[in-house]
Amino acid sequence: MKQIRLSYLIPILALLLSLLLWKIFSYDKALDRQRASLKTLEEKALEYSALKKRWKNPAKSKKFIDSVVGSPKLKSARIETKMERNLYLIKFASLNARQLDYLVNTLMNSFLKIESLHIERSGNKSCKANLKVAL
Amino acid sequence: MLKFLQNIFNLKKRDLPLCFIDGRFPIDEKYEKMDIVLSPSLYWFRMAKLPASNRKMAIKLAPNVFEGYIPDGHYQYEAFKNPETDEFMLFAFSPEEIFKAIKNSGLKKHQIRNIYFAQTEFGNLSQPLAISGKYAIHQENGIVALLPIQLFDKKEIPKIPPCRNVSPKGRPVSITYHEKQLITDKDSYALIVLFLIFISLFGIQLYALKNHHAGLLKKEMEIKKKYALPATSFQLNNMINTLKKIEKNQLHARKVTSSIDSFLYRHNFKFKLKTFSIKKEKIVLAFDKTKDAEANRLKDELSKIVTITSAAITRDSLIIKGKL
Repeated sequence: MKQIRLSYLIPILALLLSLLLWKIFSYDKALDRQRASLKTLEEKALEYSALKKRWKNPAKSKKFIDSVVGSPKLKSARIETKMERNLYLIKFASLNARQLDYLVNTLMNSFLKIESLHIERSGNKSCKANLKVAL
Repeated sequence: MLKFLQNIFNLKKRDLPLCFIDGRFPIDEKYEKMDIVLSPSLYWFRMAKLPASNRKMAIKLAPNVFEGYIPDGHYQYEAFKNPETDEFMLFAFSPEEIFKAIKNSGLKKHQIRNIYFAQTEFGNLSQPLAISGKYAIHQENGIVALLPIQLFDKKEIPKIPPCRNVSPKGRPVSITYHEKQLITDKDSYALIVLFLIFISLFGIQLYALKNHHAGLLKKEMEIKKKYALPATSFQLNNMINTLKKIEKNQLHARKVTSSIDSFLYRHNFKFKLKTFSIKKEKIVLAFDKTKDAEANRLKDELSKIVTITSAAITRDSLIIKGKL
């Protein structure tokens, strides 16, 4: 009986050890894959977060537009603002050359998602502008 | 003719010595190959009439015949039919004991060609035969036995050597024996302990790996939660691509606007821009009317900045439409 038990026990233990080794090996491989995928996810998350911060940040965009609209430099520009769903519409009824320069420069250096910009000369030294910004 | 054929095919069957094996005395002669006769001490023998038509059936019934007569153990059985009496000669033997005896006789397994029972080889003995100086083969009532020589008168009985050049009379028996113990019990226990140690170590490692795996999954969930990521990487990739496209278009629109501004500045505002309009990927520029030559120059210059889709001259304007 002792002989039988021993002769069965050794292969069973060997089998168990092999299974364990196989399991460790496959786990190790899975962990490598997991680590790589986590690294990719981290990179993509940072990329997504940065892109989102720049181009899909309604609160920040609105705040920025409000600061531009409220700027003392554009005080005489007769500005009208309107919200339409996720669009911010701004009308500048009268802009002189300096104001236009300031506005265009500010817009060009911002991360606003400009849907449309229409500038039209309305007089010899003034112009009007319509700006649509997606929030 | 037969002899001639036997010589050609090197049929040496009859040339092999037939050695009597008991295990209690050695076989001194060293033969490369031999047939052996098993001593009666190495098997149990019974004669029985069985309801069996052939040898195979008789072998199946043999364990019942020997039940109660032989001690418990692992036995192999053999049966030969005696055609004269219609009885079966039944043998029970332990292959392990036989090979132990072969080993004790100083022989190796590979030296043995055929194995015979003393019962079939000495069944017709008319008088005892002394073998090895200590024992004698004796037959009584058809049963062959190996007895101490002291029971007989030494002078009267003929002596035979353990190995003789005689042809076997009976049928050979096939013995299946697998040497079980390749390693000793001590080795087995050591091996088991070693296995258990390794199993424990690898078990711990597996547990650690599992924990690590769970940790990575948790970290992944945390990242998704922190950056408010969508559930699948496919969705995430789509969102990134959409945002990248927005970025590309917006930056391009800014670049074109800046280029037009530079162009006007470079020409010292010679071309008077009336309207500037950008919507999605389309751009419309309206200038004060100029001479045809200048209009063409303007178009040429602007085509370096935008893809012009149309250019029209109205009463007082030159309207250029293009794609960013």
